[in-house]
Order: sequence, then structure tokens, then C-alpha cells
Amino acid sequence: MHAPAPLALILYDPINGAAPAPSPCISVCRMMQATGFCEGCQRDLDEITRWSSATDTDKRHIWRAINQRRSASNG
Amino acid sequence: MASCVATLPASMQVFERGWLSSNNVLFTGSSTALVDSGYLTHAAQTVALVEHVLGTRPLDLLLNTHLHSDHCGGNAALQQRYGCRTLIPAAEAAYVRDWDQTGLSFAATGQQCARFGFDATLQPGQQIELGDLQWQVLGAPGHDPHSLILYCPAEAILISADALWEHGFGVIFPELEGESGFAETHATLALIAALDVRLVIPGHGAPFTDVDAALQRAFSRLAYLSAEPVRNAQNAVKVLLKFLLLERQQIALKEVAPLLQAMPLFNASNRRYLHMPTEAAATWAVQQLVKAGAAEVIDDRVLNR
Repeated sequence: MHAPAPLALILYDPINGAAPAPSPCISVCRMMQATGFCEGCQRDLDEITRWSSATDTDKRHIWRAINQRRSASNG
Repeated sequence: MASCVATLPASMQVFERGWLSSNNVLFTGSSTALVDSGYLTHAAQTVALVEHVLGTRPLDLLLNTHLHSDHCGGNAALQQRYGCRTLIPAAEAAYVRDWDQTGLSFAATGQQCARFGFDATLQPGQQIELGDLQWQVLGAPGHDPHSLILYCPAEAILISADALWEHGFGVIFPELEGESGFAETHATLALIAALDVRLVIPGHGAPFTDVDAALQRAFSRLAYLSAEPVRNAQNAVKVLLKFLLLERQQIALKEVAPLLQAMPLFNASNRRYLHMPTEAAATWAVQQLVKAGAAEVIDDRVLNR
């Protein structure tokens, strides 16, 4: 038996990370009904659809939100 | 870094997906259209992304640059949701009509795709209106013999599918089965080089503006691959395994060889170029992905990274 392996999340520091902010997509593209976030990248539909045309500043805002959601879900 | 996509026409939006799903381009002019639909296992999200932008508007039209499973895997779900008119490359029409999964590439690659239908076909030389803009349909053989790319002269935008990425292009599949693909790839890159393009929306990865640099990298990669065709086969096996890993996120090491063995395209590549026992090829492919930082082995499993 194996414990499910943790997903290979992309890590990024939106304050000090190098530009351009990387896409957080890891190809696990499933929206979670309970939270409205993607299970793979922790973005909502609005953040995923606007990612491609977002400025680097906006991408860093999205990354800040992703990191907050991740720490919230890790309790 | 240039935030190049800020200059997209208001009637166009790009959904940048990952590597398992292709990017999707949504047009919202006087009618709505979507170019490419991602992979089957992401279809619910693809529909949700389209719904999120369209709101109460219907999706009028769906078209595919080519019929690999990462570009048309959401077709069935979108057709079910919207009843959208669907256009596919003319050369694939008979296979889709009969749902011939061998003629299409799904059987060869071990990838999944839900059955969909089509209303009409697209071929090189046609013009099509998307987002109230005129687009030329161009043939782009190489990665896939029947692939199409879309060019808008008024906006100098190219939807390049897997013919040109910012760093490279899709695997040159025809060569794996002993058909010509390097020459076609070269001709396709030359065709793109002759266009006036300020923005490329690739099939995977972020849209980019430095087209000359991307073309230079692509020409030089093509020269590297075609100098020793075994390199193209090695690359293909790595890409096919990475695709499986993206789809499953983790695979037991002992399952890698049987999974490869079940892929006709792996067997064709191995018979023609690699000449390795399947077990050895599996071990080699896993090692290559680990070396590239694209996988990690923990205990008896290989994990996506």
C-alpha cells in the first residue's frame, strides 16, 4: 500500500521570485466544487482565464492568493 | 519581460493550459468560437473556463488545429454542453466519421479521447472569420501531417499549434513510423518565417513575441534531431512517458515497461531506432526524465515533477 504522493506543486515567492512569474499549472486541471479552486494550481476560474493576459504584477497577486490558500488548506 | 498578450484584440482570449492540455483560444466577437479543447481528463474544467467567460452566450463554433488527444479531448464535452458547430482538418474527416482510433493517433500513443462528430472541414488555403477578424488556414505538416495553423494578417498573430513553441516544437511523429517529417517541419518553419508575425499563440506555453529567436531555436533543434534520427525517437519516448505521468501523476516502476509496450508508437520507435529490450528502454526513459527534473523516483514509484 502506498500513501498518495503529494502533488508536484510549483513553488514561487511572489515578492522575491524572478520575473516572469511562472504558471502554477501542473496539469491536474480539476475544479473542486467545495472551494471553487483548481485542485492542481489552487486558482479560481477567473484567475485561470485571465492568467495569459495578466501583467507580471497581477500574476504575483495571484501567486500570493495561491500561497495563502495552500497554507490555509494545510491547517 | 514583455507582457505581450496585453496587445491581443479585445475579441480574443487565450487560456494558457499546461502540457497535458493544449492552450485554448476563445473568440468573442459577433459570434463565439474556440480553437482546440484540451485533454479528455480536463474536459470539465475546459467547459467551465469557456462558460466563465461566455456567461449566458453560447459557444457557436469549435475548431481543431489537429486531432491529437491534448487538442481535441474536450470536443465531446463542449459539443454536449453547447451543440457547437465543429470544424476539423479535412484530412482526418474519414477517421473521425468512422471513429478509427488507429487512423487517429489515440491508439498509437495510448492516450484517451471521447468520440465527437463534426459538421464541416478545414483545409489549407481557406479563410475563416473568428472574433470578427479574418484568419488564413495554413498547412503545417511535421509534428502531425495534417496539422493546421491560423494566421491573422491584419493583427500579425499566428496560432501555431505544435508547429512552433517558444522553445521548440512537438515531437515529429511521422519519422517514428518511417515516414517523412523532418523535411515537412523545415518547410513549415520556413513558411512561418516568411509571415509578418508579432505574436505567436503556441499550442503549449505562454504566448510570445520574439518570433525570430523562437524560429532560430526551432531550426537549430530540427538540425540536431534530423542529423541523428534516433534523437527524435529518444525524445518521443521521453515525451510519451511524461504524458502518461502527467495524466496519472505517479506510476509504479514495474508498470512503466508494460505501459510503453502497449503503445504501438513506442514499439515502432524501438524497432526502428532504439533497439532496446523494453525493460531497458523503460529504465532509460525514467532516468532521462529524472535527469531533466521532470520526474522523481521514490521507493518503487516514479512521480511527476
